[in-house]
Amino acid sequence: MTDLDRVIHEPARLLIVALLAGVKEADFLWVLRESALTKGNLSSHLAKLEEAGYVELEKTYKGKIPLTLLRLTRQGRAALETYKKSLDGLLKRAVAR
Amino acid sequence: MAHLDLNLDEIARRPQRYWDVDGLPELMMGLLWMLWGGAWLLGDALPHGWRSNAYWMVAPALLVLSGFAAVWATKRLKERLTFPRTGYVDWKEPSRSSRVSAAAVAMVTAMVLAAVAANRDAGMERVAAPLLGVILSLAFVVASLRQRAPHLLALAAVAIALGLAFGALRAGWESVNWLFVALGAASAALGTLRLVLFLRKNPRAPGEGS
Repeated sequence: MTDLDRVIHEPARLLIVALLAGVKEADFLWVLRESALTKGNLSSHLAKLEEAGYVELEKTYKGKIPLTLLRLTRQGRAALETYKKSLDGLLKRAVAR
Repeated sequence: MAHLDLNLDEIARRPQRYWDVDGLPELMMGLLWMLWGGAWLLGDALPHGWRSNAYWMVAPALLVLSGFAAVWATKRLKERLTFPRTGYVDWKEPSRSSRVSAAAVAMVTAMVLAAVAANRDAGMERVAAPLLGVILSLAFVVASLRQRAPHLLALAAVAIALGLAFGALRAGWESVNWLFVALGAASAALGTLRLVLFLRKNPRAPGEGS
């Protein structure tokens, strides 16, 4: 369990990171709808992911409408790959016992 | 891990499915096919002479450009209709291996079509429409399974039915052009219906949701 990245291991954050891994960038609304989290919950998880350097947030405007763009950083992509490999290894070891 | 892998795989496919959420791709594809089929029918209907020659010099280039124009128009329409309602996504560029695979498929298809066109007197025109109907139908089935889009199965059924129907009419190569026009109309109608349902189900959000 110590091998696993605690930031990504939380299911909601894993979902956010996995969603962002499939796109170049997306806005807050798309991630909100796809994750089915509440606005507050999503904001708080995004803050943690941003703090860990896994997600980049860009506040901008589309006309007069505010737009928050979200991007997975290179560090975030690497962390997701490492997480998947670590979990795979852990489960293989558990099955082998 | 197998269960988690499946979930992560499913999540990874969501952006791809999002491209098809509003019916716009089917609508634009349908319009494009109607244009292609119609352009070929018009070209064949022109009397031989300078007009026909000029038409066939310009039309192929315009038809190729229309493919790029359709992608551009789809993106612009998504910006106006889809993104304000269900969120903005910038899709990842296809990987190098995907591009190579797509180019290989396009080359093989072009070679098959060239071989078919070269054998016009060998009775190919009788089977061209049913064969094209089967190929397009299979393509719709594969797309339906990959994108979990059951509505594409309806287009698969229409493609095979139209292929067989136009084949039975024995209208020669014209039947292929009519197949494109009719299948394009079906696709455009399905896309329009899905777009209307999407717009009704997803009213425009007042802000971005944040």
